[in-house]
Amino acid sequence: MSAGREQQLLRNARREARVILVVWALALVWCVSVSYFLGYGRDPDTVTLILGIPDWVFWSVIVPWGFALLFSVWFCFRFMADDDLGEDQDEGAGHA
Amino acid sequence: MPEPAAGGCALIAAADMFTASPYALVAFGGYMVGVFTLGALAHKLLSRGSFLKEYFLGDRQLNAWVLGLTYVATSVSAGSFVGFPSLIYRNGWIMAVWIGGYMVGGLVSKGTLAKRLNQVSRLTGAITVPDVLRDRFQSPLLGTLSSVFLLFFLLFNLIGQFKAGGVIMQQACSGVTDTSAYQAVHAAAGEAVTRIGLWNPETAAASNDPFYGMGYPHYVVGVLIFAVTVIVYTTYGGFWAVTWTDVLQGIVIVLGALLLMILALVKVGGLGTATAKLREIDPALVTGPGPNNFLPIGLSVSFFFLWTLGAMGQPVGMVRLMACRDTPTLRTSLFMIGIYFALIYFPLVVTFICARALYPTQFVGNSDVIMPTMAISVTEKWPVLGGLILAAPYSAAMSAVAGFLLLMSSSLVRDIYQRNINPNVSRRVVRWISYGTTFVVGIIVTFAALRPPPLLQYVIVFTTSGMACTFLGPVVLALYWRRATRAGALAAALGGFLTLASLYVIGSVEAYRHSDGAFKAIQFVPVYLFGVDPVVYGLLASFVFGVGVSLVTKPLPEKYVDRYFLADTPAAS
Repeated sequence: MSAGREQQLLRNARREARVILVVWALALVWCVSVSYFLGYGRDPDTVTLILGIPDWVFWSVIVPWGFALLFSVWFCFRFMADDDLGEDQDEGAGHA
Repeated sequence: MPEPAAGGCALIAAADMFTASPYALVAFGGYMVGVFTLGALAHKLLSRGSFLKEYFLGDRQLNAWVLGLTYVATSVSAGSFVGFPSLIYRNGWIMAVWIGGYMVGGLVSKGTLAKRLNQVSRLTGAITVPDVLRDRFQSPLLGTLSSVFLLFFLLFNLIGQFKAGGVIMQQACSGVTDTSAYQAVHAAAGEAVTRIGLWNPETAAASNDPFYGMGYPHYVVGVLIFAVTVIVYTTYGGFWAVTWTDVLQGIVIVLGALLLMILALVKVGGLGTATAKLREIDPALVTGPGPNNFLPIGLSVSFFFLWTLGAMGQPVGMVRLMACRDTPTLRTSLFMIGIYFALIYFPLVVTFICARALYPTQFVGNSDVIMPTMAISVTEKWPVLGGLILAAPYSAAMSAVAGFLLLMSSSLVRDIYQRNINPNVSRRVVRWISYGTTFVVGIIVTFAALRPPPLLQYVIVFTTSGMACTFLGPVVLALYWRRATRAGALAAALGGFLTLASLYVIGSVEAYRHSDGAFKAIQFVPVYLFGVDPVVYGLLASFVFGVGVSLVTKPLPEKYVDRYFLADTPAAS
């Protein structure tokens, strides 16, 4: 394999994909574990309401959802790089 | 959302219980005029540039708003408005956890692939996902095989969407069944299905079958209206028609969901009141894992996978990423998709929590009717609004169908005909083959939807998972790993699919063996190893096979690979 320089777009895309996958894993762990520990098998009489929503749903889904939206503002408008997507080749008859 | 066929039979059975106002149909009519106008305008664009790229990919000119809305409208199918509300009504607040993956759904499914997929497809002029795989791995076999998989999966999905669209149209028409025009169409439909042997009025009259009983011709009318509208505008206008109507449909879906939530909250007296009422009805509705152990932790993890990585592997979404104009467009639309999902799914949860508080027991046995019921009951004073809200699930079905239909015809025209049979086909012939294929596929699916196969709903869940397990691995390896080989990509596709299929076969055989001795029912259910859905195992297997086989097989020659990965190569950007 040749050891040429990797495309800038590829490096950026890989870096962005890694960050997204880390956030995906955090969101998965947060949503599943918080709902499990606060909401599963809970005595219904102890469930309090926040804005009409059961507290365990609020902390396990609504709060991380809000953080995910805030993260997406940072990711889309601060972190994600602009790259040249390249010229479109004629689709022609195809090779291969 | 992959359960679009939900509720067909139950809705038909309940069609007489809830009658939409004729004004609802007027609102529907206005919406349809908008759809056709957009289709006609889109057709005018087809004379510019390359026909195939324009017809199937919109010449890669989608801007941020359009890309965001078309992605959302395609992702949100009829299932989101029929099956999902039904599940919320039955299971209460645990459904917020069930849908929780959508908090990062847009980011994961779009943000990880969009930039690279768009770039690589431009490098070769690819216009379909099989095109990308075929070029990247220099493998006609991989291209053709992935096209065949795609056609198989999409066919079942389309039948389900047609069925759901037909059922919703039937509901919208329920206020005009006394008119002579409707009765003439209804009689003609009944006679037609009798003549071709799909239905027999004499046996239907004596039968208790909720689907094929005397209400069946109403369903046929609904399916035919749905089919004519969606096939005509998709065939005539191609990708632009689908995309522009997606924008209209995306707006209708978001507004419909928000409007319904506000009206439901007003009717029930606030969300706190609704939740307190649910606690009285059944305490399991406000705690995990929900009634009857609905969402054990293994399934909670599985659904998070499905709504994120599963969505990432859907070719219909990938095609939209290939159609994007530039990276500023990608960034803005990525943010907007997150907002759209929040504006659709959270209001739906709130609305149908309110529905359970309003109707504690009335619809437990046939909860699939809860969406149209709420749409009609909360808009008694404003029936036009009811029509607009009912247009939301119809829009969801239409946009999903249009996207699938176009994907199927692009697979047939581009991947199978042009690249395997006749590479030098003229532009004029391609144009007519594209129109013809879209139209013929639509007609075939319409016939299939008149007599949908049993267990369709389960088949659709299987095919949606199947697309993710078959396509995600090869596409990710193609885009991000230079060492990935042709054999590795094939192993990723087949390994993912066969793992998933095996778990379904084992589950179905076990279910059959344990079914009632007197009545051996054929079921199509997977086995949940350690409580986890097969899609998780399928995705894992796909990547393990893909990486493993690539490492033990010979790398592709550098001349084929470098252009996708290295700067300073002739075709690299």
